[in-house]
Amino acid sequence: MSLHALCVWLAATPLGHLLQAHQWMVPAIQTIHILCIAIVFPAMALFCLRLVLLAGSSRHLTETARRRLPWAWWALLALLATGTLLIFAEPTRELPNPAFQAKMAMLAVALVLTAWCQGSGNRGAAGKRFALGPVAVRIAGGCALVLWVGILVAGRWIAYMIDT
Amino acid sequence: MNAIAALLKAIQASGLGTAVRESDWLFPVIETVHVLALVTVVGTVGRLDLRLCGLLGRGRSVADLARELLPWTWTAFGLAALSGLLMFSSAASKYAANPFFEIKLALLAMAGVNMLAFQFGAGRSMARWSAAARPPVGARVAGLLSLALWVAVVAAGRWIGYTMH
Repeated sequence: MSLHALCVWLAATPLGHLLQAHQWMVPAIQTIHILCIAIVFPAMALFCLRLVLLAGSSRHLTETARRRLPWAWWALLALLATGTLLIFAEPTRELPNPAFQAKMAMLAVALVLTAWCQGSGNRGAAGKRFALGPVAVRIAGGCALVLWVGILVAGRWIAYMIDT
Repeated sequence: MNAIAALLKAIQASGLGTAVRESDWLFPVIETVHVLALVTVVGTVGRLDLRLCGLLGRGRSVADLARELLPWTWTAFGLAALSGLLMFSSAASKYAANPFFEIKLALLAMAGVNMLAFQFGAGRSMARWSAAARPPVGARVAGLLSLALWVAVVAAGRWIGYTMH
């Protein structure tokens, strides 16, 4: 099945029809999507900053992770759900869109890096107060931070790179 | 009324307004900064609001959390206001006439008033209840109001984008 055929099929599903039937649905879902980003992004960014720069260093790395990340992972699930709805609503706006594709690629890498950093904190490798993690964790945290910003930027640019 | 209309026209005719309007990439870049800033504002304020309501992170004092988060909030708010102003300058008359833009400004003003009311109300005795799992009713109400207002600000902002054409 080609990407185009997939888009046509998604838009023609009952869910696709429902989402296209009411003009307010897409902005409403986008609003929820942005509110979830407001939960995920600061949490991920502050966690990564803690890894790289010692922001909030009066706390253990493990404590930073334990406080910030559970909420971020739940909100991330809500982001995936609302994002999926937005794809059903306007598949041709999203799937063939280079900004969307870049966003998904960056998301995959950012998730792996952040989870790995969190795991390394949990394993106690960097659990000391005032301590930085191992160099590898710091680098991974820095890359993840850049990626989280990149995901947000790419998300905004989906609207400007729609294939017509 | 005519003075305001003239001012709005002058804003969008200014070099800045013209540059933002006519550039292919300036507006999306500014808009991206706006989103980056606003999610930071809403995320950090919302976190503090939930603590004020006594709903989340009760293990930490309000003062401790505020010390950590508010510098990010204010920096991001400055950026959001600046980027918002730049976008506004590109089509001042149209924005001013947009009902969702007007609602958003009103909601922002209410969030500001709510914050001041908290500062001069329950916030004055914060040292006494900062560590309490359940802050006094004034603080809980302020937290809940703030949360609702910021959610509404985001929604109104999103709807501006769908009603500007």
